[in-house]
Amino acid sequence: MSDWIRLNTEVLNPTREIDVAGVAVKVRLSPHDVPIAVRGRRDEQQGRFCIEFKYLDDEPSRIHSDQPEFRVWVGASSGRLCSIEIPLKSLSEDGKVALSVQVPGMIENWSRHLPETSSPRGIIAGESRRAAAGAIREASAMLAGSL
Amino acid sequence: MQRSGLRSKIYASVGAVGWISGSVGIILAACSKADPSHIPREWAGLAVIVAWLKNWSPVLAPALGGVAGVCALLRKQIGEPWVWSAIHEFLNNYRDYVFAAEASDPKDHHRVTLFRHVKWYQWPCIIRRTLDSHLMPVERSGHMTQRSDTVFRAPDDPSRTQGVAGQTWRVFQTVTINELPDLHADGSQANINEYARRTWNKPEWVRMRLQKNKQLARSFCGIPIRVKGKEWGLIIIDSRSSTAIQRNSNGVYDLMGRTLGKLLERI
Repeated sequence: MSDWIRLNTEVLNPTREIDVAGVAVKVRLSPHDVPIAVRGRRDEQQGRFCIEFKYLDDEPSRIHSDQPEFRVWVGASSGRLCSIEIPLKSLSEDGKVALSVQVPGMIENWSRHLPETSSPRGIIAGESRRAAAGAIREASAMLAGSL
Repeated sequence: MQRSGLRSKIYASVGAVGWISGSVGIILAACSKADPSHIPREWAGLAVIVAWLKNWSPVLAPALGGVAGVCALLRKQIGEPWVWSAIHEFLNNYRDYVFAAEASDPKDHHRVTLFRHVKWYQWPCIIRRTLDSHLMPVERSGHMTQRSDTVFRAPDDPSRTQGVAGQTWRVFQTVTINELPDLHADGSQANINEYARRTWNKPEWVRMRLQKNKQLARSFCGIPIRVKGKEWGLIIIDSRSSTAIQRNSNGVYDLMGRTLGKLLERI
């Protein structure tokens, strides 16, 4: 497993302006919903590449998607993206392309197929997954070393 | 918000009661197996005491064990004093980072307050006899304005949430509000209405605070907090400066927030 790669959360968590109960305010995700670090591990035996996300607080995770082409673990309470596993054979040989384009695309594609919800918690979960995809893009150069 | 000195005294007292109850309970349980007839004649007085304790031990031993258990639960609820001291120190350091440019201002002009979400059946909401959950201040930076009893409604019905704290809890995102009217300089009805609208409070509540000469900050930032993945509460940063919170309060929290999370796991 590679060392944790510290992320620039300012880039992953931009400020937006929204309407909250009739008042225009600036909002960002809670710092607890944006990964602060990421790391990768190549598993030759299983033929998979595993990426883990680190947040400000730790929690147990549960499997959310057990498809062979894309396994996902999310936080048991928060639903945050905790880790993903992808078969090595489905990734480009160019590690940087795999991590800056392919893997974030897989996360966004998986996220799009989740049940849509307009509740505040549903919106947070969607934004948090987008932040996680952005985290892999940001750290792609360093993660490629472990691919 | 419980004063830290009082909290430490209550924690120590409850601990002492728990230890004494547990110890006496163990002695009583041991006495239930004792045979007073085996005690030497020179210790006849002790035999009377042991016989009395043996009679009462089936009732008193479990009762005292129960008291010890309740005390242990109460101490868990109150939280260890060193944890609260560390949280207070965290809030002080966080405040100093966020308001580094305002270091010469009085500490109470720029504050960081930790609020906990408390359900209606939990202490201390239950003594308020309300069916609403609330956000209650549990710790604050600095050494003044520590005796705050300002709580904000955060019930299940989102239309009834109150204040910046309530709305931050509702959306569970970092909310920043700047450039609020200076009501201490101009407390006109128009300004009170504007302030109330932008902070999701009633004008009457704002006017009441103004009349009591309470602090009415000109900028706020609410940061929701998770502990072990669960929604726990939030931090509210408030400032008499209308623009101080525009600077990077989130980035500093990313560096320090993990420490706070580990401390909050203990309370």
